[in-house]
Amino acid sequence: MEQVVLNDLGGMTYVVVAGYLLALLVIGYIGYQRSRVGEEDYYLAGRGQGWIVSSLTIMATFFSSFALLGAPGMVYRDGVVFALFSLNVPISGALVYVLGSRIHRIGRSRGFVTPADMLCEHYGSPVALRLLVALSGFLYVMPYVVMQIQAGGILASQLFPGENAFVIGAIVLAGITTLYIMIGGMRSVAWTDVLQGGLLVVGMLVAGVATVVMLGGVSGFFAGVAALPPASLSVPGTTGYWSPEMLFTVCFFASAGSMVQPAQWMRYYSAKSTQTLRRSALIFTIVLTICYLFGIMLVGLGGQVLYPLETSGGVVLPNPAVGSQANQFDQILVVMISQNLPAVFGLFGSFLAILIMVAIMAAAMSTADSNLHALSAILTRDIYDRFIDPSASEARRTWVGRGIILLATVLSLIVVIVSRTSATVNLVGMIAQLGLLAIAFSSQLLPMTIDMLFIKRGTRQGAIAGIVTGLGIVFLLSPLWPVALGGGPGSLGRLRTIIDIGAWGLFANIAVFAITSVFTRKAAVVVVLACLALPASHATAQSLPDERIAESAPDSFKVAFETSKGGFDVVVYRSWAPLAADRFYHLVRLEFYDEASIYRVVPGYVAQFGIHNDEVTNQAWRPLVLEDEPVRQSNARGTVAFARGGPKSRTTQVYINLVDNGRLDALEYGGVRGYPPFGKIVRGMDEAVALFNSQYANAPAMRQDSINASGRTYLDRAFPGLDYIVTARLVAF
Amino acid sequence: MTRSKERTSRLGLWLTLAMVFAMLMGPGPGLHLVNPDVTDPDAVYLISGIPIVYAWGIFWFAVQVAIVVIAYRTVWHDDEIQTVVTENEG
Repeated sequence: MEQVVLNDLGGMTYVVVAGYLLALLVIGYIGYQRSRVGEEDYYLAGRGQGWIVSSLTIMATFFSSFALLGAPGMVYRDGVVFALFSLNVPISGALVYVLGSRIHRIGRSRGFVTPADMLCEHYGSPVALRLLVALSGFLYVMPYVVMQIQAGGILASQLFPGENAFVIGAIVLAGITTLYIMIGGMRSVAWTDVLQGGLLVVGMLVAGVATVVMLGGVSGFFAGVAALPPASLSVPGTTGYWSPEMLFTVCFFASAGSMVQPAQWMRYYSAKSTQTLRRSALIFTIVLTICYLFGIMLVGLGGQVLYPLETSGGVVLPNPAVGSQANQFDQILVVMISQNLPAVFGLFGSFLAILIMVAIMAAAMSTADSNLHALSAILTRDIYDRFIDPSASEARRTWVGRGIILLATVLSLIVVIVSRTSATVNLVGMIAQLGLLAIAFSSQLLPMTIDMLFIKRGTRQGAIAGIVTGLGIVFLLSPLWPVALGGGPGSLGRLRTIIDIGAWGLFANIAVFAITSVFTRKAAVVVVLACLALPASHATAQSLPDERIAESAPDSFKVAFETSKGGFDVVVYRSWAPLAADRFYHLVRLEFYDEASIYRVVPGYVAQFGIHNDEVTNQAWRPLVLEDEPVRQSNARGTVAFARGGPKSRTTQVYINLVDNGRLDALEYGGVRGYPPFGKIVRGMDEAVALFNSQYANAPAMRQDSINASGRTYLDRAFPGLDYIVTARLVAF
Repeated sequence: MTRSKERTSRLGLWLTLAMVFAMLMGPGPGLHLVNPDVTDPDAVYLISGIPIVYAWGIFWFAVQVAIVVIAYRTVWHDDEIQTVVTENEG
């Protein structure tokens, strides 16, 4: 970018910028002081973010430096068509609740941290899908980090004199951002986002209002706009790129794609409640769209009035006062505020100019911090913890996450600085290409996300085939294709001029996902039927379901549990919950609960068990869900019931009420009311059950994907000392 | 499902359809209704002094906000609970 240094603003620039950076560090430090040890706190701020913090951090993460550089440049280049592009924002806002609230509920109940945690458990694919989802997240995050650091350097070079302003600025901004993420994690990131989100909203609106005032008020502004060339006042815009088809697909699919990117997904987990996300969705929808329609639109259109576009050989170029190259439309906001605000408003104008520049900085830093933080979670949880060092402690993983943040920042800085200083290497150029595709890559998570949250018909094979196809199509149609293979895409390249390439990828993704799921679901049914047809003696060896699953249990029966803390007996009454009683009877006959950990003991609430130590067995039971039943007996102390996560989701996990939990009788979760008890402990409640190890409370239950995969092998390592069931047997009653 | 839940569910469906309609009309094919043809010398570019495409965008933004506000007040519930008793999603 050509350097456009602001008018001499004296020491005010240094004071304001230093004050802003200092404020970030102070907020980051406060976040650190409030933080607690552990991944859940470092990555999700203890899942306790209120609506003010949530709404501003979601908005600040959504608005990158594009909002204050790229977007005004887009209006300046293409004209009013951007007003229609802005309509993607309300869709994104609505998705904060529609997708976010469901992701929040499931994530909170299972202790998920990354998108892959949830998707992999749902589809039962701990390796392939985890790697693919992590790759999709990585492809989204990394280019964004590089571009934000570069934007920080460019701003520094415009704010401060000197040849090294770019490099120093990039290093200082990246360093401060990294510092507060490393020390305070999500809490510091989100709290600094509050300041940054507020700044960028104010900056956008102030820039819009200032532009109108610069052009002589509302009437003067629109008189100038009315005189713009016809192409600037119509679709597809000056460059002809924005056909209605392109606009529609970008608005619809890109907005959805940007709301399932890793950093936003983690913000849904971090929210205190669904009410938090409900309010955030409303604020997002209204405030951010107003910023675009009544801030950025006015800047770009005013820019066309003040600095008319030029044309050379059929190519639209910015006014020479803005930039000399076709890619310098993005400088319009900086040029307008630097050349006009101080002249029109004097010292106050200088202050406003610096405020807007700081807002641009805030937009860049708030996106960089969120993405660095998300990258740390992805690489730590989805790669390091699963494939490199599964036995690492939580504290060690947190430190590895910090190391990843530092490493990613240093790498990004090297890319930015080398590209800036080298005459031959332009890594940022390539990464910028990738950045343009970031949302297209991210949007490939949509089919499986929507299936997981709403439809629930997809299979593991379908999800894997769909995302591989989607990512492949996006890459194939992208401008990266010739870069990667040394050849042009030929007629494929024309496809990307028709509709958004993310939409092409999504169409293929959805088709492959659906078709593969249909066929593999049929195959899965065959496997389950085969299991059911196995001789009982063979199936019992692995506690797999067999043909007896269809048998009814006796009207009542007793089960004797031997545990590491002693024995207890449960009497089951079929009249209380017939389906639950039948299932429990069948599981006990299969000796399913033998050696199973009692992985969740919450004093004053419940003790829970029922995940087998063998992954294949768990997968076999997963689809055999029970229909929901009404509550006929209260969840009194000592009663037992099946746990569930939504409609028709009871399979094998059972909880014991440690106290009277009457509220569970009517508790509505996932549209189903109440948890029906099917039996009651008649011996050993005080002698055994009350003594179960409760030191980890809910924490082990937050890692159900790991328990499903490795059972006690995992639990003994991560949560040593948990109690377990030795045997559970039917006894005479 | 209770009657009020059925009503809410039906309203949610209508609001979703309304949002899709707003997208089809705003940045989608409905745009052809107002988009001036640059090859037509009599094309109208302004309405009350404001670019017609800009006004079109603002109008559909207002519609989208109305849909979100209605959803916020009627369909979106704060059904936050202590989800401490859970099992695998079906």
